[in-house]
Amino acid sequence: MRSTARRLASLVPLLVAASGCGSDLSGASGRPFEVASPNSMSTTPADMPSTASTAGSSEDSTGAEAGLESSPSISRVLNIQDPVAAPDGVSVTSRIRRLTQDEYVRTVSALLGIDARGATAEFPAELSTLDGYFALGALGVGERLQAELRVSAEGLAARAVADPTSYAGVVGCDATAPGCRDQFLRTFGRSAYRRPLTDTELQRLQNLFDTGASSGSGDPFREGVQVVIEAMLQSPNFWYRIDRGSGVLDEAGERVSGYDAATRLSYLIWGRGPDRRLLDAAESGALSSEEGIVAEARRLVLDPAARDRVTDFHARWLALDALPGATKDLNVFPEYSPELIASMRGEVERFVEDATLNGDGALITLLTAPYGFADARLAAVYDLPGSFGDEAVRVDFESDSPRGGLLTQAGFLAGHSSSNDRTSPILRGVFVLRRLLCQPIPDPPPNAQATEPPPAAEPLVTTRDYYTWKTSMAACQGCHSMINPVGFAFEDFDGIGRHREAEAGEPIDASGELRISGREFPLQGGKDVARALATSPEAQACYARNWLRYAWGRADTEADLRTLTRLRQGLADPSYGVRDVLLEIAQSTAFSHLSKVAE
Amino acid sequence: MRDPKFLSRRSFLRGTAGATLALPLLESIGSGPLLAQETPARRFLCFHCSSGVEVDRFRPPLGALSATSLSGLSIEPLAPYAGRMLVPRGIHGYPVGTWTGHVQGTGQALTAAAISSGELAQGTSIDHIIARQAGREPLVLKPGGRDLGVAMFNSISYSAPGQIVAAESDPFRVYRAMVGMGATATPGNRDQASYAIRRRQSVIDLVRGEFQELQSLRLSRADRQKIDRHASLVRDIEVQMTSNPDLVGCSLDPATVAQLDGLDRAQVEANENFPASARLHGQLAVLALACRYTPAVVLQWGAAVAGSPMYRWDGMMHSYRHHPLSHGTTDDFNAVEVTGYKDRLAEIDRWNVGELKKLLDLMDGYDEGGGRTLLDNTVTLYSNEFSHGQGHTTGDLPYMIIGGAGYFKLGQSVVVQGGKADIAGETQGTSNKLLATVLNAAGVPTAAFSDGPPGEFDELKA
Repeated sequence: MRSTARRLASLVPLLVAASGCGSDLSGASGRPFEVASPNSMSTTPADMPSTASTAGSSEDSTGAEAGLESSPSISRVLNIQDPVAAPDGVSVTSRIRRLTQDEYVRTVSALLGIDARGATAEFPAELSTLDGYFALGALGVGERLQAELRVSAEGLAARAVADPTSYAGVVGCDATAPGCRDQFLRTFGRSAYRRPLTDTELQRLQNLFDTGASSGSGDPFREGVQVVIEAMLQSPNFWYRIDRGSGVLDEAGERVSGYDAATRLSYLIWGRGPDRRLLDAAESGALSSEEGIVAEARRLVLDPAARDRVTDFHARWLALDALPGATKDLNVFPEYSPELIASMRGEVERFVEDATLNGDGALITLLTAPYGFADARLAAVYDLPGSFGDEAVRVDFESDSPRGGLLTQAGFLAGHSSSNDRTSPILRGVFVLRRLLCQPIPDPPPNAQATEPPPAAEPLVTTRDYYTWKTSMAACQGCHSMINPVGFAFEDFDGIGRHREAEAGEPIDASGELRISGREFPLQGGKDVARALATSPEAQACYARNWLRYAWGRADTEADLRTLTRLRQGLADPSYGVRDVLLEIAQSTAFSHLSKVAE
Repeated sequence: MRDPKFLSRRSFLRGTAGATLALPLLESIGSGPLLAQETPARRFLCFHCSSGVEVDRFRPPLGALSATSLSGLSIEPLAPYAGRMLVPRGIHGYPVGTWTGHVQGTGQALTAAAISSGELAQGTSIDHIIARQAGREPLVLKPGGRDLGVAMFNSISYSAPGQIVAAESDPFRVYRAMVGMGATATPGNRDQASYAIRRRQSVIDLVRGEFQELQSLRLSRADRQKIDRHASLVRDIEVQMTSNPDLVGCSLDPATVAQLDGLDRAQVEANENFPASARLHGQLAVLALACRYTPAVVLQWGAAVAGSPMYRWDGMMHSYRHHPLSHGTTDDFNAVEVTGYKDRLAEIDRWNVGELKKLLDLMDGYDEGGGRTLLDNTVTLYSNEFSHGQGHTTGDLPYMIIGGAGYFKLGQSVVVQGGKADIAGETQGTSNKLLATVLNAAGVPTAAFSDGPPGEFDELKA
């Protein structure tokens, strides 16, 4: 899983002029340099006019799949008070989306009743190009992947047939009983293709089964089953989620079929294919109505299988992938090791899982809940009293503790720091503004790094001293007056997330300010940043947008505004959690209708 | 259209010549056997480096090139090839004005296309264009670590506008794909082999039939292309085996195979393994070209920015990675200056170019008939995102072309028309024209590439 933490985004002069930081930033020489700044969300300035009509589908002039530039600004999302007034409909996006490698592993594991983790070990890498999430419509199969997926199909088919439990589960009937072959084909086929087989498909599979069964070696029925599994795992009907539609039209377009809905639900919430109950619901017509879809969605979100998607989303949202790559100066941080990284990451995952699946899963909980999970290694970084073992255990923080919530966990802090021996307040500040608040912070102008203010009057001792001086020129302050006060508030944590009171002999100044919702929130430490965010509509709207992008694998568009508004209004309630987010998405018009087809 | 000159993977069998091997059931790629006496196809190798070069020590004087003119420069290791290389000057990255950072530099290196706000190049890279001409896909390699922050820094290859292709960093996985490892082996018993082939073909026929049925769906053009591409990869079984002695040359030497076998695959991206991994990638690149696995290879010599290597081998013991050094600083985010950083950069350039030279030596060892070697028959392009890394300068990019004999004016450093051999100067040569020239040299007739000024650089042609 690769997501974005430090982004060296493009400098687009037009957008700089209309930036959220205001003031003139144009450099003289036209030679910009990169700063490591995290994901840029939509760089659409706040006053960009809306591009869509208020009802029906989103129109795009080229008909191409919506890119990030088409996302409505956060201001626009926030300005809508009544969701019913907001545009609502379907967007242009692919109707035939390849499974991601993670989805493939989960799907075949459930389908065959085996543990298929590791099945993609030799698959070529897939890149998450939608701002840290997968652009699902863009995933395809090239030569290497085709070769590997065939090898995988053959291996998994052989495994399933060799394992008695899997075999029995897959076949589902007594091989000697008449009609078992066709029963197997129909039942397994419906599960694998996520819809009933057509007559043509069934016939082809019968022929294939018989070819396999006629080898003369081994048990014929077993051979037939094995070759059928091999073939189905290479079929486009397995590898792509194909929206077929129901033929029923309404003002939003064509409604999805029951099987389309079943597949969308299972991949949205579980990241795998639909189980038998979902397929049965599709077959019975229960998924042809909103109520039916919601009922199944409720079942799915309450199931432990929802865990993977929830933790995956939050890991991507916070760009945790930066962690393993964050090389630290081992003279300064001798404890930084692959094992510690694993502990850090493990804490975030367990915390998210615990907060969202065992608790209310509210954004405020994720950002501020006063507990974490630590093993011995992490406990050392957190300076926790008591003894800890190799297994992480829950630790509760006192109300006066500087820790509480995701943004004060080492996994976040260590990943969003400078690469060797210190923190990077600029990085952290920009990340919060861009990624958590969806503010359009542009990149630095040309030669920003090479530009030096006049020599400092006093020695620059702390990281804060240095960056305050470095960004002190008027041209820099346009953005840095916003970025620095947020980033500096995290200075009470060092480059691997350890709390500190001093740096190089000087006391730490972790005071700062966050200007949102037309107000200024004074900050004292990273926990305050989280607190200010947790109840801000901007952060709620931004979280909603991130969920939409993740869930759909496409940029959010004007047509999603009603859903976005509902989500952000919901998130204002502290009891509104991740399950509610998923349910809201499952109830959207976009969910129950086919997408628009690009030209 | 399949080019019969490009072989199936049976050419790359492990083991020494003459040994009987358990041959995998392979998919056919070409139709027909290797036509050993035909005019060898023209091939393309991109050796792409990041973060610019130490400009003051990289470029030879204009005019004729010789060992002497390269002497003392970072590119001195190429001295033996002075007469077979071309250093074009005065070429600016296209689109001019938007090529400003590593995102553009990587995205536009082989596409010369605009970057979308999603930071993806909106064009197809020339490796795909060249490979497609032969019905193949390019080999896209990137030894070393990844930039975990930005997906786009990890590849310069685009199979279609916006479709970035992930580069492979694990040489073992590359090798495995080339020799069809993991695929079901053909049983030795004749009846069993016959059955296995029939069975495999039946699966292929079924899958193909299912792809066929998708034709009736209403899909966008992009989706149609996506599905068609996948469908085209579901190929028939090829069972003809030959004992063509010409294929003997197309295998890796046992020492290299042993190295691949001995790789700690979990650590291929670790910094200290960069030289070993990169050299293996290089050998696989040359093997792929020599044995016509593909006509196009991209060898991205290290990721840009946060994935760039820290050069601590072969006499270098740097404390900072390449990218920050290119800015003269200790790391990517702060500006603590490194004394003598230009010397470090020159060392890096020299080492990189020295490794390129080793690949050229390998290529020159393949005699392809008619007095030409693989080196002559391949257009090798050294490319870089920037000329001057510190300023992210894209003027007068440090291109070098080796080989492409017969097409290019070799043994020269030539300023393209209207351009200036000056990173800051006004330049009128644009990189899209260079890529057009390379495409033509590689056998893909190209009147204009990307939406830049049409044509190629006639002044670079023989």
